[in-house]
Amino acid sequence: MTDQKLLVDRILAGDQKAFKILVQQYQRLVTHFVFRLIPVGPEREDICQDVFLKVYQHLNRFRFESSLSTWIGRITYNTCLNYLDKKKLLLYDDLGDVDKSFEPVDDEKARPDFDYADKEISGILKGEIEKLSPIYRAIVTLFHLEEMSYAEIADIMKMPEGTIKSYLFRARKQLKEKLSVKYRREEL
Amino acid sequence: MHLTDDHIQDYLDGNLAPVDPAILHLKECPDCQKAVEDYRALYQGLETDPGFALSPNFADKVVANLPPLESPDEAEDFGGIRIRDWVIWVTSVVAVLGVGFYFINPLSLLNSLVGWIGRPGATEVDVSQGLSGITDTIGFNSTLIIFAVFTFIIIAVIDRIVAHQKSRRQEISIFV
Repeated sequence: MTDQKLLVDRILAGDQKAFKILVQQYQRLVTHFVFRLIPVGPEREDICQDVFLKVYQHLNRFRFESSLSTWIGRITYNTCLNYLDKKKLLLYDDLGDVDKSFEPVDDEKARPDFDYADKEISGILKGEIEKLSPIYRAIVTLFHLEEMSYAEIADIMKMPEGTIKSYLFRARKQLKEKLSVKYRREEL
Repeated sequence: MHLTDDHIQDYLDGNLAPVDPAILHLKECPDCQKAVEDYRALYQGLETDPGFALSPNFADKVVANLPPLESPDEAEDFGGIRIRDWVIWVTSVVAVLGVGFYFINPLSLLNSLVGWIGRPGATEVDVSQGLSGITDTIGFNSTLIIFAVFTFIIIAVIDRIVAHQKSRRQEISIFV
């Protein structure tokens, strides 16, 4: 019996300490997902809490047909979608390939030699991530921070794997181009 | 021809085979090597924890607000068969027996059976006569039997459809 199965069985038997362990294990995933999808607002922690309450209430329906992280990820994603829908916020806001406000720049000069460990550059990157469409932010986060595969993300978002890959590539390309332009401007 | 952004990302995501022409090109092209390094740096930046934090006692707060566990929608298992199924089976058997005894004289049927089975050296003709006697005794009515079977099938199909719809509603409700 796997650790996940044991943990779920303990929770279903009414062991609340076991559920606390589950919350601690998946808190990072839920937080990253919610905070990336919901731009701002004090409700974000409430949404995280709501996700875990749903997990608890419906845990007896989890059949181990996917990993627990995928199942929790799916609940998180759908909870965020409902929230965005209620607030009339767009998930697919600005999916454009390239920011049209960019000035054309010479390809060679535009290539950055960034050190993202640098706090300033890291801050710029964070700001540019925030400007991405929520769906791009979520995919980038799941892939790079949660180290999920295209297939796992596709499973969570109920989208074809090819679409996930395409969105991920476009998001990274947008980031790279925006940062190149920004870096050049600041250098001048 | 330099590598495209897609080629570079495919390479860094580990999607390319070692003999892919893009990899062969990369070994010889300094411009593309630099472009790869730029993307690699971006990957490292994206892997830096953004520092999103919940309140320190978040897990305790969640546990303190836990609702009661959802009661199982269906009755609990009973010897591998759900109680709901047991109820259906027992009800069906009682109903069939009730209807059967309403139309059939059980004593007369029993006599026919005993007479047929108990006769030594029974031939095919005897068996045929015995069966004929039994069907005469129970007042065999093919229309009635077909109607009963048809009704049973219809009820079973309706039950399956209702169960399927219910299950779909549950699946959807998990995510709302």
